[in-house]
Amino acid sequence: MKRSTLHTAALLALPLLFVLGLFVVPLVQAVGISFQLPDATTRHYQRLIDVPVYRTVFVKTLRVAAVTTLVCLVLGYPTAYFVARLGERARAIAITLVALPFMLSVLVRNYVWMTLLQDTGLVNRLLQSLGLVDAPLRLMYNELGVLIAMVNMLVPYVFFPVLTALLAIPPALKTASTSLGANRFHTFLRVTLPLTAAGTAAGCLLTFIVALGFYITPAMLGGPREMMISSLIAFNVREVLNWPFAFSLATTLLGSTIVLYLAYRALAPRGTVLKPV
Amino acid sequence: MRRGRLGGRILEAALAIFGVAVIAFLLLPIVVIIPMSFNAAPVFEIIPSQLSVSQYQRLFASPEWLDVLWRSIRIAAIAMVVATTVGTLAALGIARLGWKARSFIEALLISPQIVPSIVIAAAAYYMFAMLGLVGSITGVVVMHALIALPFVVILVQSRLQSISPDFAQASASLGAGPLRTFALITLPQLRLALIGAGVLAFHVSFDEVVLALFLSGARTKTLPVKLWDSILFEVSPLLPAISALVILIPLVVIAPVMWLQRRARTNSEAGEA
Repeated sequence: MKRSTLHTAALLALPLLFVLGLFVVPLVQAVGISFQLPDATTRHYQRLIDVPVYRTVFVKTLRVAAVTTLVCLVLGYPTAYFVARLGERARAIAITLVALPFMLSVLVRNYVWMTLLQDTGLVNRLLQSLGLVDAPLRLMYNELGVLIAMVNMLVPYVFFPVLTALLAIPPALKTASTSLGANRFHTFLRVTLPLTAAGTAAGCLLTFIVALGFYITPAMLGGPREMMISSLIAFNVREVLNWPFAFSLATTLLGSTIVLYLAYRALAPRGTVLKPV
Repeated sequence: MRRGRLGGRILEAALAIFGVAVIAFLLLPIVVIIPMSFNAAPVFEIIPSQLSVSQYQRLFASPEWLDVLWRSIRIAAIAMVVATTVGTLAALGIARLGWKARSFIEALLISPQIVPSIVIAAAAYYMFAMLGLVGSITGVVVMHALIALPFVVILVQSRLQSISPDFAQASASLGAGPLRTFALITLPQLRLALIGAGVLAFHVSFDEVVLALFLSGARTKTLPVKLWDSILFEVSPLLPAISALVILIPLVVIAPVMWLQRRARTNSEAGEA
């Protein structure tokens, strides 16, 4: 028994040291600096609330994450419903196609959106040649551009949990509902929707969590004026070297992520793999 | 009744159109970048007016891009080895723990996946600045290994759970020590999972921007960092070709591995049936 414990400890020593040294220690240190330990001041957090510019950044971050999540739900749920009812082969292809962009560079996907959405980009030229607009629409360097690209990247985060939930519904339940006289709409409302509620909520939470921490997309498609919390962290670390303030922002983001993630874990099916963005 | 059926069919068709449109929207960036990279004209056209490989020719003749490409490959390769080794040790260790300790340590090892990159990057930047490691390749490598670690742990662990313990027990009862049992019994069974985990770890590092942006220096830029710089601060006519390469490399690497794993799974299912 003792020997076996020793073996387990030997196996875990290096991994634990690795994660503690490179992840836990720097994060704890950052949280400490944000409170300027041992002084334990909250004045950097106070600044987040008092200074209007920072309040705007917070509100913006929350709004962008919320709208992204909502649009992902509106696009992702029906698509998952459609894919769930396909034949086995077609479903496998559809799943591969949705998963495919996951493997592709985040940077490149954002870059392509920049070329598509700029004033002389494909979307504007299409709209103009169709005579729908006279002057090019402003599709990037604003919140709209950020939203389009974020939705494009995050739909799979709703799609997959919903699909998993849909496929887990035993077909017999729907047959039973229909044979009891419910029409399709009623079956959807009374059977499908309640049984996919947890998966859907998990997917939405995940989307929201990932959206909160987005850095690359706002920087590329939003331009310098569209600051979100992550851009503000980067700015304070790299440009003004205001560590305590940067870390109070980082701690706030970290704390929100952890709380939301715990809620997600309570809802989610196990073993969901996500990709850091 | 009849009207109901017609309505149902229209609804069905609308759903199908919606689903296909959403999937097309998701695939749009990939569909667009490849033709762009074969165009000699610097504007965007779906079908290139001057079809040519000139972008690629210039790219492969450009020492600065080749230099960062090579550095990125090296960094990703080392990060892959580190992450796969550490992650496999972790998965083997976790499998031996009781339920409570197990979920705690598992959560700890997987948490780099949940915390936003920007938070990890800022905290690591501060620590590495103290240690004088900002701008070094080592800093980028270890942090890339850290964020690739969760993928390795999850993949290897799920494979370990599906392996019957009978073989290892048989091996032990026949007198083999734990190391020997691992080398001769467990490792061959883990082979595919390890390859998959390694490829994924490589990809995570090769693709990573945020940490590399903070931790690499002017002389240690990775490919994504250089790409970031040239997208935002200079306009390089080679961008489409570089982007297409960055998109294609992981596909070329990952596709055969996924195919292998799929085949192995089908075989084992067929074997069990």
